[in-house]
Amino acid sequence: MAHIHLPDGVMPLEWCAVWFVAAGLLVGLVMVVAVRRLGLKQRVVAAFLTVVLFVAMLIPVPSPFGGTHVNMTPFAGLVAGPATSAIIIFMVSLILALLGHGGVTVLGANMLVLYFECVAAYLFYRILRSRFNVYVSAFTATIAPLILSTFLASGMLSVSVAGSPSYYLGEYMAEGVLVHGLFPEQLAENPFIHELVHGYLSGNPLFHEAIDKLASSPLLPWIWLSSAPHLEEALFLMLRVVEASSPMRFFMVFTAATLPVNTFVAVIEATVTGVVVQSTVKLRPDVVVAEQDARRAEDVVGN
Amino acid sequence: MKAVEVDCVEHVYPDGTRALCGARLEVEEGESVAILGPNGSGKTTLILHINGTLLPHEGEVRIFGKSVSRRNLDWVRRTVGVVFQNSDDQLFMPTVFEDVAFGPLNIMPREEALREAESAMEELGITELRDRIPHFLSGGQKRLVAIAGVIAMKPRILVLDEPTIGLDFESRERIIWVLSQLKECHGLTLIFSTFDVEIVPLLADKVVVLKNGRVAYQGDVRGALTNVKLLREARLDQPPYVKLAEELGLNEKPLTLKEASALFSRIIKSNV
Amino acid sequence: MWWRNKTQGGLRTSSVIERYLPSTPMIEYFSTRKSFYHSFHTISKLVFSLSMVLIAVYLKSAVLVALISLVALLVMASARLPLKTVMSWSLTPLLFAVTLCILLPLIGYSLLEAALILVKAVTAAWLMFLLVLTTPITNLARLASKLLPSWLADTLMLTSRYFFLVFDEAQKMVKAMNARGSPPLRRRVMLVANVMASLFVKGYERAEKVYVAMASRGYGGKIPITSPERFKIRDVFFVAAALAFSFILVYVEVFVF
Repeated sequence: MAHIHLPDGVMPLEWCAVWFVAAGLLVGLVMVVAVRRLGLKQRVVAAFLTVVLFVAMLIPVPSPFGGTHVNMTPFAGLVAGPATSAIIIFMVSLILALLGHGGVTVLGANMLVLYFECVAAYLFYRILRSRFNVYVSAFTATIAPLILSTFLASGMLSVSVAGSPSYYLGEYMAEGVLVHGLFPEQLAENPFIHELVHGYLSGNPLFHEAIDKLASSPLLPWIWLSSAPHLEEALFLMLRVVEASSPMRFFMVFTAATLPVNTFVAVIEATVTGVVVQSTVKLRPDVVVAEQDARRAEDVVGN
Repeated sequence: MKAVEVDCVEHVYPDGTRALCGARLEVEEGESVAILGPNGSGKTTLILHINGTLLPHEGEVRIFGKSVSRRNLDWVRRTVGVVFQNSDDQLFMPTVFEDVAFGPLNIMPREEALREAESAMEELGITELRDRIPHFLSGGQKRLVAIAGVIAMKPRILVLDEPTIGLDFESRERIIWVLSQLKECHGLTLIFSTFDVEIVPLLADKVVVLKNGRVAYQGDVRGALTNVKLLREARLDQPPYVKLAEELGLNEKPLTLKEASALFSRIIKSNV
Repeated sequence: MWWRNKTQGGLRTSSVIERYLPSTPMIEYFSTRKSFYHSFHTISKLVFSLSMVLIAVYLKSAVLVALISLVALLVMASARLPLKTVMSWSLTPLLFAVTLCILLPLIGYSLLEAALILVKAVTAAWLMFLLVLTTPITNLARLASKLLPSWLADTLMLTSRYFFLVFDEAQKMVKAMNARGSPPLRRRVMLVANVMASLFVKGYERAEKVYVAMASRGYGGKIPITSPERFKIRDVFFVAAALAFSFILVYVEVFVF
């Protein structure tokens, strides 16, 4: 569970709350429903799966560029199934937060991403298992959710960090224009922008709204182009503000930055998970829930 | 009164393995029984049946005359205490005291439960371990805590799976002492499985030898421990004094150090 | 390390993990030391840590966030925690925050804002270490079983009990593997995977055994708790002070800056 250890502080509190509610609704509901169905023994098993997955996460896996750590979330989904893995995800996130890995306020966001990986892995496995053997199914069911979750994580992060343009586009413009003199002089002197920035700083909601609209308006580039002394400079600044205004831009930047690393880790993890699932199925087929469910549905090919 | 009666119990494991199909076993109240047998002969399965953890698919287990079933499991578990082989599997609570108090708190009022836990720890001489974390205890200490946890539930029958396995000399002596105390002073019915034939004459009144889930022998200790063929079948060695006496061609076979020293001092005196 | 000699269990976990996370011998050693901060009730410490984390995340003023870090640092020092080791643990959250913060100036955050996020991440981690290293795990587990529904609390209790046991086993397996030489990469990955598989099956079987042990001692779905930790007068003052401090910080942020 290496890739979304979001620390505290990166997300504004209101977004932390949103993700908490979402995670509470999704993971919490599954937990309550799942536990009602589980016997006492399964609860004990869930505790031990948490322990084992947690420990496995800490074992260094050799890779071409030094040791990495595996996430183990897709594996959790495969061995515990979508229901029990909700408990596991909750426990792992909580313990990691207590040990300073991954923040407390972002617990909701972290849990959502991790739980997504579990459920996606389970579903992928169930679909693939009817056509492929255990190794190929487990490999694909690991790599696909991990790559997909990279998009999910940066999507959530983008919405949370860049999602309220009124907050920091205005701040940025105000600070850039007035404090640092970052913008071209003509831009600062442009009476329209000047008024806008002052209006924003005075806390007038009308100007907040105006800035929001402006940030997404096709008008903005023209204002700048017309007021900038050099075309290149204006284009550069324009790009930055438009990026800032749109979660989509941040999403693209962040995904581009994290995807290569995450894909690399996902390949290693998929290799490992494939072997782990294969040998576990050989030793005790009854403990891998995804395999068991697939067999019960008589939806499998040979090992 | 018969404390335990096991009648031809059969247990089928989820994978279809059948275990224990010819076990007929009777234990009197206050008696102490050693169960001997090779690995996989069904010792642990038998023990789990006595406690009601496993229910027989066929046959019957009776505790003090009452047949064990799903309905009286609570009573059975209160009457029969089980100490498992691996103490780490039994000590699941965060501290020693909480672990000892776990059982009593489940079945008694709070005040009484805590008192029982305290007195069980006192009895086994582990009061100083009270707030320790089980993870950091030695093997012998863990075993004592596990026994205390069971004793605190005030069972009438105590069942132990390999009580002396993997312990150093001192811890082993301590466990033997504790068990004989429980037997002598509290009149507990004791049932234990073991590979350690030396503790059998010290603790047991009766021996049961299991083979492939069947009772191959049930009778007195001397009869079992001097029967080479029986012990070989159970893949066990004879106690060293019996072996020595056999080596020397003596008719009398001492089982314990006490008996051996009495025998040899008599021989030495008669030769002098 | 120096604290090893003083722990009761001696060398139990490998030093590898201690570079990133507090290990049980460390947690046990530091949480059972005596200091004024240690003597507070678990709830008080929880309230302090959580309220400070929340406020630190909320604040936008660098000065106030720095003030919280300073307070956290001072409390850690007064609780006699190993500041140097804590610093090395905070590298992990720092690393995660840095990967994100490098990108933030690209989308319009000022450098100061990005740096502030780093400080917030590290401060929050410190506050968590403060909680974990001054409170015996047992007290946290007991509190959890009061706050959480019993099925969740029981799972948490078992997890905290068996984590380090299983961790030791895994370490042994990895060591045994490494002791048998250093095969090519592909094979090494396979070996690690096999270690994980057997770890997993063993864990499952242990779960079955522990359940049998629990059932045979009357487990009926709720682990009984025996904690007699008392909420003292000083706890009332401490919680009040923590909440007042939070309030002042928010007040200053909103009305002064």
